[in-house]
Amino acid sequence: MAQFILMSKRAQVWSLDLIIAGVIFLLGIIILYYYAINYSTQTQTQLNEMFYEGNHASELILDEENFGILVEGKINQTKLEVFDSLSNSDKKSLLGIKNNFYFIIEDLEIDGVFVPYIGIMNSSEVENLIQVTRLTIYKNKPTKFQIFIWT
Amino acid sequence: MKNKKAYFFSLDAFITLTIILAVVLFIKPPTSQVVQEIDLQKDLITVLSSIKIGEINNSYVQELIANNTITNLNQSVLEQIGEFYANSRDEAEFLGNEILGNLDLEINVGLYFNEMLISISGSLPLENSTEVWTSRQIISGIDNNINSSSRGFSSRAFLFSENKVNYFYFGGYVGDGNISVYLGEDVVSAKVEAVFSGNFNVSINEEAPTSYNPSLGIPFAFTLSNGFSQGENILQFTSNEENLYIAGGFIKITYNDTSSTENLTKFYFPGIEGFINLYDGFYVPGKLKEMEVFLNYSSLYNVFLSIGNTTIYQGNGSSVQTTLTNSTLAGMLDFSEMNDKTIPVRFGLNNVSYVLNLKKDADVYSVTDISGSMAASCSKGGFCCWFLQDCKTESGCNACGGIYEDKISSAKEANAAFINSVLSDASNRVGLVAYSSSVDSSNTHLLSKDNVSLINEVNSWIATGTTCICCGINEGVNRLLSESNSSAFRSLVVMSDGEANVLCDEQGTLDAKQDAIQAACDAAAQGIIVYAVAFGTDADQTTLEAIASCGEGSFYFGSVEDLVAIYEEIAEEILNAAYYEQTVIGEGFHTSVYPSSYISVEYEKETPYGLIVNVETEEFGSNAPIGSFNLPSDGIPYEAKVVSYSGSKWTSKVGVYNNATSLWDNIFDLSEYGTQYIELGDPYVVNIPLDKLITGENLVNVSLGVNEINLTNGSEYDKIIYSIVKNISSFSPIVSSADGCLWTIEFEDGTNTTMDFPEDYSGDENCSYTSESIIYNNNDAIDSAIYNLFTSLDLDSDGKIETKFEEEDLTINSIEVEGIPFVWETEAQVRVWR
Repeated sequence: MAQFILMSKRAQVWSLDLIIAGVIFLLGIIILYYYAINYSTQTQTQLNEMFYEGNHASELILDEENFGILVEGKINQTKLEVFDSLSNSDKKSLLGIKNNFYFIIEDLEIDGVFVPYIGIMNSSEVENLIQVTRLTIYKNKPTKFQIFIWT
Repeated sequence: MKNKKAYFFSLDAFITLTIILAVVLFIKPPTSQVVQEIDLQKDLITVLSSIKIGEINNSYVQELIANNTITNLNQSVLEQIGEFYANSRDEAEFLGNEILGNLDLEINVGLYFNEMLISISGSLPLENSTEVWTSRQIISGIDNNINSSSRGFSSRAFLFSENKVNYFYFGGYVGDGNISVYLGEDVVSAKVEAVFSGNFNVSINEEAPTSYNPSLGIPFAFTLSNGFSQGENILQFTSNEENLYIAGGFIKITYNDTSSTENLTKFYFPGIEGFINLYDGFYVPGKLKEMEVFLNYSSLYNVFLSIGNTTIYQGNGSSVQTTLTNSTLAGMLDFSEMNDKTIPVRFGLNNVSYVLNLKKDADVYSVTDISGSMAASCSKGGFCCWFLQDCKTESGCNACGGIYEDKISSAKEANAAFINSVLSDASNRVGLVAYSSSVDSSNTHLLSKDNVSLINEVNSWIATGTTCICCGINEGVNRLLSESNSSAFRSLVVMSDGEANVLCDEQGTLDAKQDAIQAACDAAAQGIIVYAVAFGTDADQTTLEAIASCGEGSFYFGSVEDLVAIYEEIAEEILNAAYYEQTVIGEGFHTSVYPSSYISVEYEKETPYGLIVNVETEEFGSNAPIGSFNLPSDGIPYEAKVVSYSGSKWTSKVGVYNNATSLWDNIFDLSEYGTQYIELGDPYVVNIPLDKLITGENLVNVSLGVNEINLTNGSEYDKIIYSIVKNISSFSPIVSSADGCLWTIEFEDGTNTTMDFPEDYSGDENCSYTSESIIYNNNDAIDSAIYNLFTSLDLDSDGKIETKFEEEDLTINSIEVEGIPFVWETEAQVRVWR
């Protein structure tokens, strides 16, 4: 009789353990699920914002008005150098970019020196990166203009 | 000790949770890098349009400049590629590839001119793409470098149609008997449109005939394309049923004939074998100089020929061939009164009592059975109808598997159709008598032209009582005798679905069926035709057949499904019967006039040089009696005619609207020739003097009559046939090529054809001038010239060419002009895809 009672108690303890384990496990699954969904949406929203920024910035840069670098549809070296001379924060402010950016053009030259890019390039960790490609005329050649924005 | 094991599961789960949290908190996904090629196609168009060819930093371009392939350094790169393309030069592709290749784009890009791929960058074919973006720009230029090897082309397209079109017009009435028409030589095809008196056969040059079954009273059209010979052609119309006649119509004959137009017109008579009875007219298209009449006929009875109101010939004999010379005719006719006029012509037999062309108005009573058996019923529904369903409704009857018949509704529907059909001729009247055990005046309607009132009466009928057919007939007869007179075509349409079971004192045969038959016989004795309809399988067909027989009418058997069609058929029979009354002809006459007979007029009129384009307008339709047509400003009016289907009447007046006075100018008035129209010809076609026409819209009004009073509207089937003399050649501008095309062409008669222009063209370019699409290369001189020619031949701008021609009719001259500046234009496209 005593043995029967002991076995009965053991069974109850195991059952409770199993229930608690199940609850913990389900909690973990739910956390992972919500995190995955929210992260995906967050990322897409962020990318969309960055695309908007990239498109907008490329329109502003490849423009003949204001601080745009074009004259008669072509990149004007003087205007390009004036733009380059702006501080990074001013560039970001003028272009309405919250994040980091730089753009590259083939054979890009500033003050007689070939440079690889204009904008901000640092070693910070990259989470999201977008690239917008446009075509323009630089040094009398049809050329790719690529702007990168990252967070 | 053993109880400690109970924490194991929880511990495992906790560790798992910890791992998940660690992943969420400390491990980030890899960098998201997305590339977007925004509006590359727009950028490329802009770039190529912005940079001048003379300033582009490109070794290939410098080479082309150095060897003078590129001479205009101020052109944009896009314009330079366009010029190479327009000149069909390979440099277009090389230059495009050079520029696209240097861009080193990650996406697929293609440069197109006029949908033709010039250069491409990328490995994915456009056909396999999932997304495509396109930008377009029209570019044009002038190649004006006299020292260059650039060549311009100009072409001239000249239509010399071997096919000439001529019309033969039948006249207002041509009969009675076999009719033949002389068509002439080298006939390609003949389109016939005419009102025929009944079924007929047509044979060409006495070959095997083809039978036609036209609808009566309305124009019937068909086209003959085979069986013509290069020599003379005769078209014969015969009938197996009775003497045939044609009440207006024409034959549009297409000839393979290069002869030029002469100011000599012969109006050939139609051949008639049977009973010469021709009402016609002819036109003097200018100032009448000379005139001649040739008659070829056989008649033992005296024939006469009247022009206007003057009888110019009387005679008889076997195989008579006689010519009335100009001097003879000038002594009888006042030529000065015939200039630019349509003159009525009458050719017939003297001393014959014609039943003249007077249509009788139709007065008809519809005598309809509304006895109890006509009520809606359900048969074969069985016990189901007694206990389960309400079989008085169609759905209940159907649910019981019964057969539902709503005879009264069918009868009402048939009567409505009948009323509308008979009253389609505004001079007809319809009355209603609905009978059952007797005739209740509340179920009748007097003769009326008011179809709304009549149909309202029909819709008020309720089926009840027994069947007194003789009551219905007697009531209809009495009403016709009191409301109508013998000048009208009087008839009854008697319908019953059962057996006569009520006697009539008027007939007094003591048998209800015999009373009904006798009532019909009595009606016929009073000149009233009785048509009989046995409605449904329970109808006493024998009695109703006897009623129709004694009533000199037709018998019909109908079911619920076809009663409407039967009533419409009877309506048509009545309409035709009223019409036939006018054309009763003598018997035993065997006379002939042969189609070699003619009236020839020579007149003064300057014929402009060019191609004569014939146009037939749509029928007047609901606009009758007024029709309209538009004369284009780039053509010279040559002829304009209104064709009038006068039916039983005469074409009495034709007016053209004068925009200056806002009045109708009479261009034809039959009353000028006499008040007794029955003695005059009836022109089917009335020519419109050209000085009455204006560029733009012209309105024509046609009136009919049997005398100068009480004119009625012309037919809805009337139309206008006019011809324009057009410039038959066209030029292209000087453009970069003159290769040609395979053209698909649609003609006004609805036929399509494909032709190579020039004839030896062997390329794969396809062009079209159809109502569906107009496609051609405007940088090709030949294509441009042909397009311009087609546009001028498409008078109504509907994408269909009025003048039919063959490939060999169109002559094309292409002139190569060296060093002459020429314009080119093309659409440049940049397509981007992935």
